[in-house]
Amino acid sequence: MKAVALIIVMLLCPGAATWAQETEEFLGLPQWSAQELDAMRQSDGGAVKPSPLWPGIAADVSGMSQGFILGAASSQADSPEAQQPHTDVSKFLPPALIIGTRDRRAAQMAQRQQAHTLREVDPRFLLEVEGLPPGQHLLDPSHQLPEVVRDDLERFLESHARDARVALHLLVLPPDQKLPSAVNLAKMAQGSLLQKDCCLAVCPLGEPWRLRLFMSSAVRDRVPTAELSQIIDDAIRGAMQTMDSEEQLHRLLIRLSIRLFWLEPSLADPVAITETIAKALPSKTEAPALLEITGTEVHEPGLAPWSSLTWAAALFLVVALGFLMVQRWRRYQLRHCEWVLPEPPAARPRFDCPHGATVAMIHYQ
Amino acid sequence: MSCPFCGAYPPATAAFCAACGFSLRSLQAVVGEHRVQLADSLIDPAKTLRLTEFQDLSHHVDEFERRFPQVKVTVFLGDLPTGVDARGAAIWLVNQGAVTRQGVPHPAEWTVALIINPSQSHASIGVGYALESLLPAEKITELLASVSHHLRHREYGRAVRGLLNSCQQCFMGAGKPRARRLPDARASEGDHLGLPPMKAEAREPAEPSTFF
Repeated sequence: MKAVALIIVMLLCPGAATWAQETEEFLGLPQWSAQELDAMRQSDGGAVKPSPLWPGIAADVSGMSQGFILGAASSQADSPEAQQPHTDVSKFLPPALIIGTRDRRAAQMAQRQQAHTLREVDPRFLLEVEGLPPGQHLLDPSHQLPEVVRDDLERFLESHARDARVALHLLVLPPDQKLPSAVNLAKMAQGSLLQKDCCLAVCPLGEPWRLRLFMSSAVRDRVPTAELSQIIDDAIRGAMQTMDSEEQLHRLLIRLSIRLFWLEPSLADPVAITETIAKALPSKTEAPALLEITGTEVHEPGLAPWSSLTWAAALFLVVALGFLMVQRWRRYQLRHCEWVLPEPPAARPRFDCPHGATVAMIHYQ
Repeated sequence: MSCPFCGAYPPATAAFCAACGFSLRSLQAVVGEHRVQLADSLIDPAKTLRLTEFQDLSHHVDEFERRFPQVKVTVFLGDLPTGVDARGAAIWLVNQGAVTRQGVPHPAEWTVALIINPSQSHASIGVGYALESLLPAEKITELLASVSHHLRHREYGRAVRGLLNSCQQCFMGAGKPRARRLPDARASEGDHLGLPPMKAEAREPAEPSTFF
């Protein structure tokens, strides 16, 4: 019905169709002739600016300098990424730095996959560690970490040291090296590790499972060994959640920082407790200031009696449980069984008693 | 076997003890030759037990007989006729008592008779020939001595319960268990459904006081 009405209106008013045609021509898209296009292409960015909307302009954009476009995907202007505004902050960094970082990460990954034998760090490495400034928390004398990452970790460690009772230090080793067994940790960073309670984490780059943790003796004496072992396990577990070696260090330090904060209730009233321990255990004062915590160590000589007591309690529980089960079994037998007594041999009646003549009596008063 | 009264050792088949003259006939001359029906397991003419204690002890005796269906237990707490002590009463009850189960006479050789005479402070246990290997006279004396403190304190219910438990231990060590066929295998006469009988009214008319 509407179509019929529209036809009737157009037949009655021929001017209406003419108006619609004129409006379409007025609002149409721009159209250029071939001469105009050639003229615009020959001009050096004259009237028409290079735009992704311009047909065939991709070839011109691909000819731009590669220095400001990162990654292989962004070098193709036809890709969707190229048609959207870039927000990558790495545009503002020198390309050499970014490309170098990428190559170094790839090299680290390749190196990690190769089996290597551990060797002890050079004496020069240790000398450099000892010569580091006292206030430094991140000890990376061999410059394993990029400068940006190093500053980031150092800021994190400084902020932790400001708020926490136990300062956290990180010594970064090359992946294929380890600390010698006779290393003197007291000399590290010009002896600054001994000035207050601290925790030194020694971690090879990219191999967090080789993490070693050293605690001040005061901390070690006040905190149970099992709890300290849990710190190592938790830190390694957190670091192993990623494959990137620098991210591993980030996660490692975050876990350690959290755990050190958790330890603080155990370290309350340090002066009195330290004095008490020093009086009770004089041999402890001769121990090194930094003691290593191992993840697998659970038992402690001082806890041996408790463990034996625990075993005794468990054994007692098992025996008690067995006794109860035997009692229940006997009750079950009493309720659900009847006993058949053996048939006696034929007895000779005595004292003229046909059925029985066995008797006993007591006088109970 | 020694004489239960004087401890002498007469010949094995002697009809009477040559030392003291004991024989069943001497007891029958005092108490009588009639047989008595042991329908009730617990007889308390002296009223030494409270009602709840009596019911609990009756249930305990019934349970004992369910566990050992060959054994018949009779507990008597009361005064005895003149001229008969608890020892003679136990022997008389073992030999003159009669029990029928499901219409079948129960062999008296499997009888255990426990006699407690509160007025004379005597307690005795007599057993039939079938049980004398399991409960010899020495063992019976030992069991009675173990509950003597209860008897001294007039705790007869505890004493009887303790004696039954001790006998149960002895029998369980010698017997072989088997699954119980019915929840209440020891039904009284005429009760073929295996239900426990009602108390005194439902049982066989028995006159406990007429035992002695």
